[in-house]
Amino acid sequence: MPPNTPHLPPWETLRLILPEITLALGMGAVVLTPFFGRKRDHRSTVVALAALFLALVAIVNTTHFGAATILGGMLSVDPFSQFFKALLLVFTGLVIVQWRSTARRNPRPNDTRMQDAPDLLCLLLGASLGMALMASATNLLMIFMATEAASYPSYGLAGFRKRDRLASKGALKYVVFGAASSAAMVYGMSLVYGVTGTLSLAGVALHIGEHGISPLLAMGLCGMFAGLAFKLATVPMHFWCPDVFEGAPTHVTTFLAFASKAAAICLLVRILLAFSAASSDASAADLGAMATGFAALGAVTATWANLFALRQVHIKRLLAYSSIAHAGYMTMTAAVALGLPHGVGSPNTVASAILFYLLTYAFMNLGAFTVAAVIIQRTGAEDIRHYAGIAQRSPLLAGLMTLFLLSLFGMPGLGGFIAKVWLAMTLSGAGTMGFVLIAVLLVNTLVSLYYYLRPVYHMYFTRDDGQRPAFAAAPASLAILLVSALLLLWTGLSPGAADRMTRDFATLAPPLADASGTPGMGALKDPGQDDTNRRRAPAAPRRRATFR
Amino acid sequence: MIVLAQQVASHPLSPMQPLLFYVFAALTVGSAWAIVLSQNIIRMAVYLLTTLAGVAAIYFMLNAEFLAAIQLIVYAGGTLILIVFGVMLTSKNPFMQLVTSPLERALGLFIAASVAVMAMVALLNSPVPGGAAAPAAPAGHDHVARIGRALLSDYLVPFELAAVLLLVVMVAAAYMARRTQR
Repeated sequence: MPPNTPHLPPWETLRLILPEITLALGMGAVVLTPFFGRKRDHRSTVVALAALFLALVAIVNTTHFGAATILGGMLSVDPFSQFFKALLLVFTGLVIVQWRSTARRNPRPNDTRMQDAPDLLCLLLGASLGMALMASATNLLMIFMATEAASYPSYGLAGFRKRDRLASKGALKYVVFGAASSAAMVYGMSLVYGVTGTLSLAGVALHIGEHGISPLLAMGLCGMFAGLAFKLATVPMHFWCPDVFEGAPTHVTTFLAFASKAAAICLLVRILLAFSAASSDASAADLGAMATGFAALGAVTATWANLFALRQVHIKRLLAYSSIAHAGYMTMTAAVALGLPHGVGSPNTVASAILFYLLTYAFMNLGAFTVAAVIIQRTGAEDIRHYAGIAQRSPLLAGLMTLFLLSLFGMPGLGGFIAKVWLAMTLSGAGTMGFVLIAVLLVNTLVSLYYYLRPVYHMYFTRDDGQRPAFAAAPASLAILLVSALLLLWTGLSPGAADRMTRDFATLAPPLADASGTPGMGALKDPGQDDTNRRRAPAAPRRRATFR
Repeated sequence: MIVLAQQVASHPLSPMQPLLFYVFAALTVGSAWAIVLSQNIIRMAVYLLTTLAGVAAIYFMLNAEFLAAIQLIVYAGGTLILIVFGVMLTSKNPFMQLVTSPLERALGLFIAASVAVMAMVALLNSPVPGGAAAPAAPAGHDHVARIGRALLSDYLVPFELAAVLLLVVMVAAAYMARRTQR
């Protein structure tokens, strides 16, 4: 069956969106669990994990399909989106386990209470559903709805500690900023629709390719990307991020730090690749300007976040600024997808570099936040200056925290290093601008070493009275930590397998529903043969890809 | 007034049409200014009503009856009432004065002015496809039927997603509003 068939048989279409349907049904089931029996927290957790697992199975069931744009151009189901969705679902499941295993025996008034489990899990699944759709959306209306579906549950999650002033402040900031950016996004989309006369991403890209970007269209695109920039927390719209991360419960922070940014970056990559695929001489200059804009946005974001992170002493705020910086690095790389002035990055390279980054970032982020959650659970310390003596009280946790922070910094031998090297290699394909961006990446990485080492310094070298008891993580938390650490070591020491996997999955469905059938573009190279510099292949053969 | 606008709009050559447009545009813009300049939150809500009604009237004149009706029902009818209820139920004093500092005022004015100038420049320098004329109404009044068909065919997924979104929002709102039992 050729990919990108506009009219698949209904059963095939249903199978391709089965993961999303499963998540939606799982949400409903989680909300209904309190009506059956009294152990609502255990049952709803089991139901939520089961829904995530079934959705994961449904995703694996689609991976042999190749790439397809379905439902009249609303969604693209392709290896790129399915890889992200699988990662997201695994991550969400681990976050739920993290929450259960780091809950305090005697909860404080501000902790997430176990009897609120159905609400929490419903919101988590709802947010995952929105983010999964964000990675697939190829229609402006769908993009808007998916972004909103990812945002609203996040607002609820951010304010989940409703008796806490800090959480309320963060959540309110999130809602107000989010409403403003949604308004900008939908207004921008209305302008884009007004100029191009189409809602489909392919149509918009085609219009840009033919006519370039008029000032009005540029305004519309700016508004549209402002909505995405909010989700990514890039610089002018990052104010919500530290406050939300500090106020929200740690498991929610863990989830938001990876998931909301990853979904936004996937959507951004998809949009920019669609634009660059339809570029022509008429639009090359405009797209180059847009690429420069995104590159500058990413560079400013990373630099700003790293400078502000230097003086943070609250572990969650510190990691919040760190996540903004990582979003900045990924935005810089996504800009390359547009083809910077002096050379065109092959789309697949950008997508695979981003996927590899997301894979490692998910687990170093999960690991660092899980250690922070365990320390909060056992000692109550959220300020890194109170980490004194932790190396003596729990050597294993201190060692793991050091490993995760060094991976976030990009220490050779760990996954974070390889991920950054891949970003730099992708950037190097973009001419002068790319080398400027690599310099920015390098300087920022060096600056970030200071604040990543601060918690380590306090854990190992600050003296405490030495009287406080040793502690250890609960078995489930420990399992999460060990899995994350092993994955980082594996991707860091022998990146070959993970690299091949991300390259295999870095195929996007052809953005142009009509024009992609042109011969010559599809048969450039056999995706199975050449690993180094593959172009996007619209006629991707049905591959037997599995999740290794 | 709105019925009148609709009648006028059905005669495109009527000299009343530009006149009515300017009346409604002035109503919309004027009350939008009034919202910004007013310091009493209930007054702001009332001015918002006239702004939304003015926009609805312009929709009528563009032959978008369905959109205009939705605008009146959802925004003027629903959202506005919710705002007023929200203010009355949460604020200790519904007639609270909102005072902005001069710095905030200057900053807001600067940003608004630059956005407005940018928008004007962009609008004047861009070719608007299809000209400025309102799209002609297709024969018969089947807007609603066509919208319904589109929602349940081409736009089914976003439509269903909206339903799921409402469920999530309801769960979150119920959680937030629920009394915490100790």
